[in-house]
Amino acid sequence: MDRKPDPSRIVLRAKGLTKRYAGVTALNQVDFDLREGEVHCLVGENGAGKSTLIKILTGAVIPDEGIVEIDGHDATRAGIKERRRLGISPIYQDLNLVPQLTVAQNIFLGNELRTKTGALDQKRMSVQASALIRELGVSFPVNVRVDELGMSLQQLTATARALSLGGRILIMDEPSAVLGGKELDVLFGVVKSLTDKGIAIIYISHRLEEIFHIGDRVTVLRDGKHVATTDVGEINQSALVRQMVGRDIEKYENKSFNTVKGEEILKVEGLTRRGVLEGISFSVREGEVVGIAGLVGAGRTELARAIMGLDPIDSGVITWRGVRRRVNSATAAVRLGMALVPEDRRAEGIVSMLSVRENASLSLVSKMSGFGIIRFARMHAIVRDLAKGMSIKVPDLRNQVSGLSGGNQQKVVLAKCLASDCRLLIMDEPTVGIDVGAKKEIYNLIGDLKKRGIGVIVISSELAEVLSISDRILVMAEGTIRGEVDPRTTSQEAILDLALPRMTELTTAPGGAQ
Amino acid sequence: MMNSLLSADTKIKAPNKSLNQRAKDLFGRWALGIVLLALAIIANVLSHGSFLTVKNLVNVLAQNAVLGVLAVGQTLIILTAGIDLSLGSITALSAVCLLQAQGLGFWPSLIVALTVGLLAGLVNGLLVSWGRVPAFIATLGMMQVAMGLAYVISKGFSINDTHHTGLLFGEDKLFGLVPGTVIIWLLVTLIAWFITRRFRYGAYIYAVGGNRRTAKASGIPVNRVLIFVYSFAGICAAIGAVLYVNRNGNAEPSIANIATLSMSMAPVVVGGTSLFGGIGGVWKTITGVLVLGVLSNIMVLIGVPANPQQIVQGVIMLVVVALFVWQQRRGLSH
Amino acid sequence: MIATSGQTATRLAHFFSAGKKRRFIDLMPWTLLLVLATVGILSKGGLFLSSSNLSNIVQQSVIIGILAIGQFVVVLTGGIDLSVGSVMALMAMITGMSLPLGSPLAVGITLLAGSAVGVTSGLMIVYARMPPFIVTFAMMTICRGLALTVTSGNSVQVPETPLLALGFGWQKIAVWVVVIGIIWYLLNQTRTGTHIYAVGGNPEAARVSGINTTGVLILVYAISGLCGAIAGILSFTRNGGVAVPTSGQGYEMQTIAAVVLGGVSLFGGEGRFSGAVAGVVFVVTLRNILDLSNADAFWSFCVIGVVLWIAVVLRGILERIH
Repeated sequence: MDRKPDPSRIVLRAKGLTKRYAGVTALNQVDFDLREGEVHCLVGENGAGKSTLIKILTGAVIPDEGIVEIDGHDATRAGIKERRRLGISPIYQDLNLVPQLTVAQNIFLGNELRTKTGALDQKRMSVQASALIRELGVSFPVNVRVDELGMSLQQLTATARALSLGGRILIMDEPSAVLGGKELDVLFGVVKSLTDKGIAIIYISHRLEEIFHIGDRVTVLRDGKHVATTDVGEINQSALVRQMVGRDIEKYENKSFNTVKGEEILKVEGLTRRGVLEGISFSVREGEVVGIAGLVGAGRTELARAIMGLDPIDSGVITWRGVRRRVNSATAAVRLGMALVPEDRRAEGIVSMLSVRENASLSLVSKMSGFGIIRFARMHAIVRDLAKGMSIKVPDLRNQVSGLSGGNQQKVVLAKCLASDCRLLIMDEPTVGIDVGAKKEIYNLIGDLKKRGIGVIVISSELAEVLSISDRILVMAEGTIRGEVDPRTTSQEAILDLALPRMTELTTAPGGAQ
Repeated sequence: MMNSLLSADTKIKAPNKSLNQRAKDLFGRWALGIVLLALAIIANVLSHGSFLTVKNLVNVLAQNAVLGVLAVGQTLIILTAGIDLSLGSITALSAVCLLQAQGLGFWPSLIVALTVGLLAGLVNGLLVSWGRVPAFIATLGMMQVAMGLAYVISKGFSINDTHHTGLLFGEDKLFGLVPGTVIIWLLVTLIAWFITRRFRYGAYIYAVGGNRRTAKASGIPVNRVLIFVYSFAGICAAIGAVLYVNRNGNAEPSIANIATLSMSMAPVVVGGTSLFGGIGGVWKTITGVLVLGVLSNIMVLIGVPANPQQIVQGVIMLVVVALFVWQQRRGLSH
Repeated sequence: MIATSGQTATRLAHFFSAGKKRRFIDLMPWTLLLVLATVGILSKGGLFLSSSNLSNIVQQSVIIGILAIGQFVVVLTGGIDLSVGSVMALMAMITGMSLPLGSPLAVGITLLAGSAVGVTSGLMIVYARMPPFIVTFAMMTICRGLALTVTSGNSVQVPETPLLALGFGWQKIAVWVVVIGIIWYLLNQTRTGTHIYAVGGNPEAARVSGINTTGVLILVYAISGLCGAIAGILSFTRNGGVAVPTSGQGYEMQTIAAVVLGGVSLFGGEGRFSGAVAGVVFVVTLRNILDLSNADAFWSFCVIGVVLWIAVVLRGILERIH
């Protein structure tokens, strides 16, 4: 359908979308509309509500309030399949492709074409797949296995598939996250080809430069609320950042800002892991809280894992208390005195079928065993005291940890780390999915750790959090440390400025013309 | 040792469990024991009262001692969410080596047998940990290798115990009643139980089985734990071999058949140890051994020949695993 | 050590691009076969290359080959079937026992029985969500038990029957070729074939695309059961009308080794049919060479086990590079 897109036609309209989860309002009266043939960018910090909005639009989640209209029809109650029929096609970050199948096979997965005799019509599928790709404005072989192509082409395969399913509204979730340089140009070219055909695109990205490059309008979400929808031509980057980050957050008063910092516990020099981390160097002192800010994909979790010995490194020196050490495994790290509160609590933080007591003892066990025999009495006493001190809300420490709330589970993970007598605690997104009360408790806990001379590294995507509790803030982007800021004098905008990836020169002119 | 870190907020007390719920929990824990009791009573009835005599009960234990030892070793492995398909073959190999070396004397041949078991288990452990080979494939390979070696060394024939090598206690029985095999089985069980409950490696085993990634991130030496459990099971298999020779007076490579293997696995599963790791224990397996053992006796009393018994075992295993999976999925949705 | 293996992996990654790696895996079974053949020729010369020996190899490949095809399809979805040997033995007995009803009916009943066993395994794996190796392991014991029970351990003998015509040389090979042809067509020329690869390669993507994952999984186990039935019939006829209830022990091992050597990934989604066939020939040739060397036939068990280990470890290393 090659008629010129009519920008005044609204293909999708959502009004008053609200969605609440267990005490948290993910979306609050959000409006959103999409015009034919436009590129409508959606931005916001982590947790601003972007993914919830997308889930509602694709039909994966039903909103508590509000309506969704597609092409004028009320689609609020429509499920995923029906939405797809109505033309909504999401392209997620994990692409959902079968790596061992070819491009053509992936495009037609589930809808394979057949000859009259019932066999697969591979020739026709090849031809049509090529045609679809050409409609994107690119060209590459379709009979190659997907896992032999680079990320860019894999993404295009997913896009072609979305098209083949009749998608008129494409939702692209962080498409540029895994692309670089020229691949970005290809992506932008494809976006232009699609919009020329009247396809509307919801484009989610945290790379603000892209938005100014290909976007028509941009909507900013913050804390689940709609902040503004503006034409791209009528706003600039700093104004956009201010919208994303906005108001003066009630800063959590950090009473222990001025604790005396002790000796250097950890020094990292030149930590490098090919493709992931590049020349990371910093240090942490006793009683110091080092915050690490950055966007998703900056390599912060990878850094934590590298320091903890969970992932191998290619080069770099780790110095622990003045002595150079090889940290080959988490076992070595824990023995030195490090501890990690992982990002994914359920996958790496707790053993759900074990009790609270057993979970809290995991790192402690080796220290509480003489000749390998566990001294239970002492171990249980330590865990009991810890649990009481941290207010872990559970009637019996022998209950399964899976029955606890998120906040309490996180406290169990913390208890585990503290029980091992660590001198350095690395926390990766410690307060995600936790209610406000528990959050405050965890901040207080960090303050107490400082007083006791324990060094803390806090990785967080919540700028307010990082600013409140850190003594120093390192900002990472694309695997390196871009800079260090002083939380007392800096601002959220300054941090975001450092955190945004530097874009290479875009060779296509704004507007995507090839 | 630790300062009180926060002013304690008022603790929210969880509601007391209803009587109904408590009863259900209690029943779940003792269900298998009740089943065992029921089976014993049935057997007693069928045998006109001769089942529940001390002499016969001891006999039942003796019958199951060999497989019982194997099941103990298998339990530790399954607790780590692994599996060992080679235990039967390792037993065969150890038994064959034991008697092949009997000319060297009692203790040397014993050491040979135990070393063989240990080495085989060690290889399994290395493959599963460093080699990152899935447990069932690694032990499937060992099943073949050990069985092959057993056949090669014995040239396919049964070897007779001419030097009384297998007799650890001769014909002696403790208290004149309990044969040495049962004592050794009990010893092995106690050691395994002790390890899982009082030693730090025991705690590690449950953690590794429950969630390997968490165990790793908490600093637990996962590879060493895996190597440990597979090596331990290998030694158990060797001990089982010695008990077998003691009982049968010979060693033959066909010990490495499916029946042996499945009898090392079925009791573990029936006893309530989860194939997915982290849940279960040694005494549960013992109960499982006894349940299957008594069941087998009942089938004999009813007149069911040996082969259909294998079918029943297979069906039981399926049912139990299915129940387990169903229960786990329900538990996760709470 | 973890650090160094990571560094090794990185260095190897430079060397092995994705395409190169895949071609390496594709060629592996054939290379291995070539090596093995060379060994055979060098050590046994004319004896190995004699037409009677070579035809021997082909003959022995047939039964394992058919079972391996079933295993191949199952492993493609990321599963495993440990029951193939026992199913074969049971099916052979069923053939023998149903011959009084006439040859065509006997064949039909056997094929149906084999599929039924496979479907049962599949149903448990899909609906009860039980791990494939436990389900098929239990099936293995059940089928073996059944085989031993129905005749109280004796063999079934039907010496005079037209079905025996299938037992001879080229007819057996013809059956194998036909099975290969059918499965090849299924995998490469039908939608279901693509779906099988998809379910193994990325089950989530398959589900989201609307593929009937449940049906696919049950199908592959049914196919394996069917192959077991066909192998059972051929085994019966090959033995001159005798079905031994203890036959087929260790066959599952050989099929798994054949499939893994053939370049199939145990995690599913990956594997060329030709590779599996090469794997079968490799396994059988290995046995053959050992036989010719008058080595204990028992050594073949060991060798197959070690070969399986090496293949899996190698594959693991290769897969971790990317």
